[in-house]
Amino acid sequence: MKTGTLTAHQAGMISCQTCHLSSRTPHAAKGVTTCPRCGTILHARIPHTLSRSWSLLIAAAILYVPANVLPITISSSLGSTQSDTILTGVIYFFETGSWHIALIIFIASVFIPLFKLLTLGYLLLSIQLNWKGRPRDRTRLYRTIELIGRWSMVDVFVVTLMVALIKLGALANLDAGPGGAYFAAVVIITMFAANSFDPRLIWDALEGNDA
Amino acid sequence: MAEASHLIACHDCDLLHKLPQLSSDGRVTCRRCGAILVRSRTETVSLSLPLVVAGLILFLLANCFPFMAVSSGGIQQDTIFISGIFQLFQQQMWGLGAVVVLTTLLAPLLHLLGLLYILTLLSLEKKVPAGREILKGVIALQQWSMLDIYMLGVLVALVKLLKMTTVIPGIALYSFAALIVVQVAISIVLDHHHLWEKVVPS
Repeated sequence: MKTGTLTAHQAGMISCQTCHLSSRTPHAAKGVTTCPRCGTILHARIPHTLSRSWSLLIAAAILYVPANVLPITISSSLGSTQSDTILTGVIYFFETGSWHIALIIFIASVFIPLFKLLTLGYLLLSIQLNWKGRPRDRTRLYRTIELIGRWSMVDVFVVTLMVALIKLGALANLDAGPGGAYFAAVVIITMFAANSFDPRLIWDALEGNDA
Repeated sequence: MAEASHLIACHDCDLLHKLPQLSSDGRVTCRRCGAILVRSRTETVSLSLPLVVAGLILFLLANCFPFMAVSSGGIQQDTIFISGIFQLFQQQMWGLGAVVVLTTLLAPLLHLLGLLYILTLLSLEKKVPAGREILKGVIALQQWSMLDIYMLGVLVALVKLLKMTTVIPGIALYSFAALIVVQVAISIVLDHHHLWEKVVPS
């Protein structure tokens, strides 16, 4: 083994996910071991990381359909009502000239969720198929989706604000549509999916080549 | 169980590193995958405590004063920060309302309160009862506090609204914007590693 490339797992230590303290695991560990500093249960790797991440990913992918097909806002103005989905909202912004806002909503509500779903799927696949290539880039990808995932909530907040403000009687009225709830669910479930994915598995796959 | 507080394992690739004595502000990154292992801020308590207090005051202001009002065709609609949540519950969007309550009210408030408790006791150089559990809670709440994303939502909504109505900003809106700035400042000066060492002395 090369010096200086020892992982905690190889050294018989477990790193706490909460406070990052490294503890030496006793050899015949019975029952549950907890971190001496913060009391969190210690796991060498996130338990059932692959099955949890896959199932959450698939659930989010399924809910992504009603999130985009069902309307997130239902506006009524002077007698006529109009239902808008996330996509029609983007198109509306684009057509009325605020293309920068259209871009923000498109990136936050269409691109980021799709990117997160596809990237997480790619990362999970890379571990299942035991790929050894580009571990650093894959880790960076994981960190990226962890960071940007929550920003998809922006559309939910826009709807929240609009339903409070557009209450001008017969002139203009806005109600939240069912799509919003599904969309919030997609964002939250993908957050949980990213949390249950253990990026250390990317690097564990490389250990097969070391002496 | 033997703990090795002079070693740290990268949370992204599990590589062990010797933790250098962090006597000044700086950061330690994983030499294999680039993850930030430690963001050291020696004066973290004295820097973050006033920010947390300011944040709580701003949070209070943001919820107690008028947030935004729109007027069109002689009708004006005034709102406070939680008006949107009320509307969602009135429309029986319970799940969505609950999510907004969690991410814009509960998580930010509890995060700040938890920090206030820990930092106040640490600055008075006292022991922190239940410090472990509260610090764990504070760390867990961080990713669920989405006020900065709400701010972006406000900006998007503003663009939409300015097209068809007149928008009247309220005190709460400015307090909210200031709160976001304070939250960013807190995330810069907060050193979790240092807090763990102080809250649970080895």
